[in-house]
Amino acid sequence: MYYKQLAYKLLFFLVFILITSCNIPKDPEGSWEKIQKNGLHIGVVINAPFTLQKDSVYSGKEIELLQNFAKENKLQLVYETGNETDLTDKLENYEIDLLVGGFTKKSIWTDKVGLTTPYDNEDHVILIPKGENKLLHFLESYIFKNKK
Amino acid sequence: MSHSETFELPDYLKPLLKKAKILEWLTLLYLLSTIILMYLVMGSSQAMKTAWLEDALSTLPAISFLIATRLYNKKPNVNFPYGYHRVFSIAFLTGAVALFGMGCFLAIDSSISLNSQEHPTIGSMMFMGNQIWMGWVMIAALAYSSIPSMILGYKKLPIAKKLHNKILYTDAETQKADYMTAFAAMLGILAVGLGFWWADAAAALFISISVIKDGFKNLKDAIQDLMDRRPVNVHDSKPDELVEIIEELVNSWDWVVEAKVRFREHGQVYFGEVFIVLAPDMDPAPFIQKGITEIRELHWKINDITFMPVHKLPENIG
Repeated sequence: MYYKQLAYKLLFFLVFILITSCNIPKDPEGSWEKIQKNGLHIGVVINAPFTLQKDSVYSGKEIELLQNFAKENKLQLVYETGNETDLTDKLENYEIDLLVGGFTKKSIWTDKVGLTTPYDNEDHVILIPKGENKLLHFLESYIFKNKK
Repeated sequence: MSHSETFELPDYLKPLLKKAKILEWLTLLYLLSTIILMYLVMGSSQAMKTAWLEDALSTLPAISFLIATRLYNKKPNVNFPYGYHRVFSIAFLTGAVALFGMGCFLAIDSSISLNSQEHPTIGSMMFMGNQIWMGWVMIAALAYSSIPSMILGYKKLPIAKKLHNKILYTDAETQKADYMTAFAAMLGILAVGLGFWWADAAAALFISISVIKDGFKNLKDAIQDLMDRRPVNVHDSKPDELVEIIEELVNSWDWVVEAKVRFREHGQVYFGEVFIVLAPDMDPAPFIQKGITEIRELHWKINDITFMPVHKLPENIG
């Protein structure tokens, strides 16, 4: 009797997974949908060679990565410069979508924000609002494709 | 006047204890493998972390059972004149503390992450050229961690009842806590995938209530057993009727005017005294020897009986 019960539970679980798996993961705060409408708001902490700013032109390794990511997904990029503390606060409160500036896996901000998988072999990552797993999924998909 | 036997279990139960030992070794090995696997995939999921710590804690009942089975059957000696039976009661206390601790940890941890509105971030990994959401990997790890727990737990329950072994029973309940938490964590991770950030912690909090309940019941029982409470059943903590049966039996003997008994649990077995008021002018020695045999035939759990002839039954023995 007990094994039969277990089998039913498992079956129910599998059906549940099959039904839901196509839209997993989603964003609790709806970042990915917002980005489609309002553009990808990225916070930039100036830190050469990852992020550079000259007048209103942004450049650097991480900026280029995001520019290509935005192009591939047909997204508008919106920049916002500032210091680490202010920008991580904004990221924590879902006011910006991503934060770049040469952060690594060992960043001190991991309590407040999430990290992508490293995009190079020196553990450099992009910061992302906590729990926005759909945005993370698309960005990591791009990182995996372009990582050498 | 006392009678004692070193070997607790009757022959027909010995293979059962051996089976229980094998099950516990399997449990321990399997728990260690889960602990390593879960550590490798846990990421920042709250439920995953808690399930991992739970697994680590749940090795305690298994370990204490295995240690206790090495000691309980040792012969009484000058330093331990009552034998080593109670080592099971101590193991029971250890296991109960572990189970209760698991529940508390789970409740506190999930409340904190609900309160701080922590959104679990779950990324992806590359596996053979495909991007796989880590949530699926975690669910697979949790399934691996829960299904054997379920089977092991259910196999131990009937053995624990037959052996009157409370630590084994607690361990089976620990395994129940384990797989329930794992199921909750699986649903929690799925729900996080569907955008409900709170599901992970809420599921853990929900399960913690039942773990705390089980843990508290066992902790209470373990402490009461060590305080020489009268024997109770393993599965429902209700008084074991065996004590009343013994009292009735002793009172039915014609050489006994009246009698009162008291028993306590020493691990798997019972120790106790029989106070008797004798019929006048008689030598009780041969009767008592016969009486002890008769009582011991009632159940193997009755391990040590002391007969105490008195003029008047003592008032303060419950």
